[in-house]
Amino acid sequence: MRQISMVRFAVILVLGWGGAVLAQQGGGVAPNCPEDAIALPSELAAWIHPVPLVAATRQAELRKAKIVVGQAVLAEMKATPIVTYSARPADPGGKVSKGGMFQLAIKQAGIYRVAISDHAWIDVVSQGKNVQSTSHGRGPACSGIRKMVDYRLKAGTYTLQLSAGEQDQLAILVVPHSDEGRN
Amino acid sequence: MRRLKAVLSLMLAAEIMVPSAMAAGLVDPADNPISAIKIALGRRLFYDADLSVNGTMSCATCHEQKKGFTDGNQTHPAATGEAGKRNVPGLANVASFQNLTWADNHLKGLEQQALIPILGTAPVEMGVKGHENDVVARFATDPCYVRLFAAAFPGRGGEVSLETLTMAIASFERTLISANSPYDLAKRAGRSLPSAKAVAGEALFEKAGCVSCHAGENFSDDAFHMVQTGGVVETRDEGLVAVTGNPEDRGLFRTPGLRNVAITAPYWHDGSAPTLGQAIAKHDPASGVPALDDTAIAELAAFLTTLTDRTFITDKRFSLPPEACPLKK
Repeated sequence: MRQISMVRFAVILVLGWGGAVLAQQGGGVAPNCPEDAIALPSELAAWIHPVPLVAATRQAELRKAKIVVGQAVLAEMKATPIVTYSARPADPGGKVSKGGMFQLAIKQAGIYRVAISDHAWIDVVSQGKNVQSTSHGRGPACSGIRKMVDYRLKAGTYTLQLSAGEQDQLAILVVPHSDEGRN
Repeated sequence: MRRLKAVLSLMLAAEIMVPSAMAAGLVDPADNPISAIKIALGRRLFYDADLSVNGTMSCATCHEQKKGFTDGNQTHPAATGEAGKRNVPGLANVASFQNLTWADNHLKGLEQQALIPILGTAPVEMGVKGHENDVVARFATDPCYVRLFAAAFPGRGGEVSLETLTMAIASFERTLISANSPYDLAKRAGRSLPSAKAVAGEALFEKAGCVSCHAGENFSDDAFHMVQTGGVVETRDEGLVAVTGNPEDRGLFRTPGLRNVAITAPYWHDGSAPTLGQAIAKHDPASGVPALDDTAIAELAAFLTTLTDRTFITDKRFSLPPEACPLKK
């Protein structure tokens, strides 16, 4: 297995995601990093300490690709053609894109926020069906968080699917949002 | 007429019928005659992210059906991350417009317009400029697409090129017809709108002069105006002048159509108005649009909400197509 570069993640964190990828979902003017940096809110504090993880390409691999609420991961993503998603993504991505799946256990019902470091489509799947998101937006300026999507989840096990991504590696963090979810 | 009947029969066979009220308005250009198989191919391409340089962005990435084929963002970044420039416009009845996009009067049809997001560099959207051959090869080497192009373009030997790709996408876009909103249903039945507030809003829409620009069945005169407060001073986007070079076109933008407007926030060419009320209030009284109080704005918003066509945003014929190839070997 190729070693995941934690150094690269640290560079992303310090520079925002500089240069060509400064633009963020939702548009607006790109921040000038680090001058425009906004401190991470406490609920996203774990973002800066990711652990490596390899994305699953099929359901049988999900038990080895567990994302724990409150623990950031730097995930190795897979080529889209070798990924068999649990449910068809709303935005499947092309042959040359990257994607993958993760298992997500929710112990207590509430709103959960999924934060990722680069553009990709996020689906949270339960029993073969996509859970409707409640809101979406971008991360704090220069934080390295490109996109955040919120879901109202019940206790249970979900599949977190990421599709239509570009990068080989993607930082991911799932946290309870606004005190509504506690794990 | 015989040709239109033939087209409609083909579309019926492909489960791509249009609402009967709009059938007579179906655009069927002589240089890209519509066919069921071309529409099916165009739909598949519309949802295929292989049409972007890195496989991350399809037409549908920005044009989401459930949001009236907009995306809910102020602007949308490029596949390669560069900042977006303008708010994503909806696609309801897009074939009825002569002027396509927010500020361009030079584009000749949907075929040419489709090249803007694919090849554009100001701003970059799908990022294909300089990678045209690689991107076309993805489709030319895909067995399903090879069959579809052969069937859709028999006179061109099944040519797979940017030209045929955009012809197919344009054919699909011509079927995106919205004509079954509560407003449409009420008008066809000779009934009044569903609420007193909407009725008041409809009357105000005319009385306040909104209808002078938001005219016709798509609520757009398809022309360019400057109605934003502060004119060009407060905008970073110069509008039509960027295309025409005529200084008089500075700050001009095309009147957006209002079909499905209640579900296509945020608003204006720069996505600067988060709500419908703010979008209405943003019109500059100095441009001839009267200042409106909160009650008037609420009435106008109630009227505009009757333009939301639920059948259009849930119609499976416009949705992500099944993975299986529609043509068997």
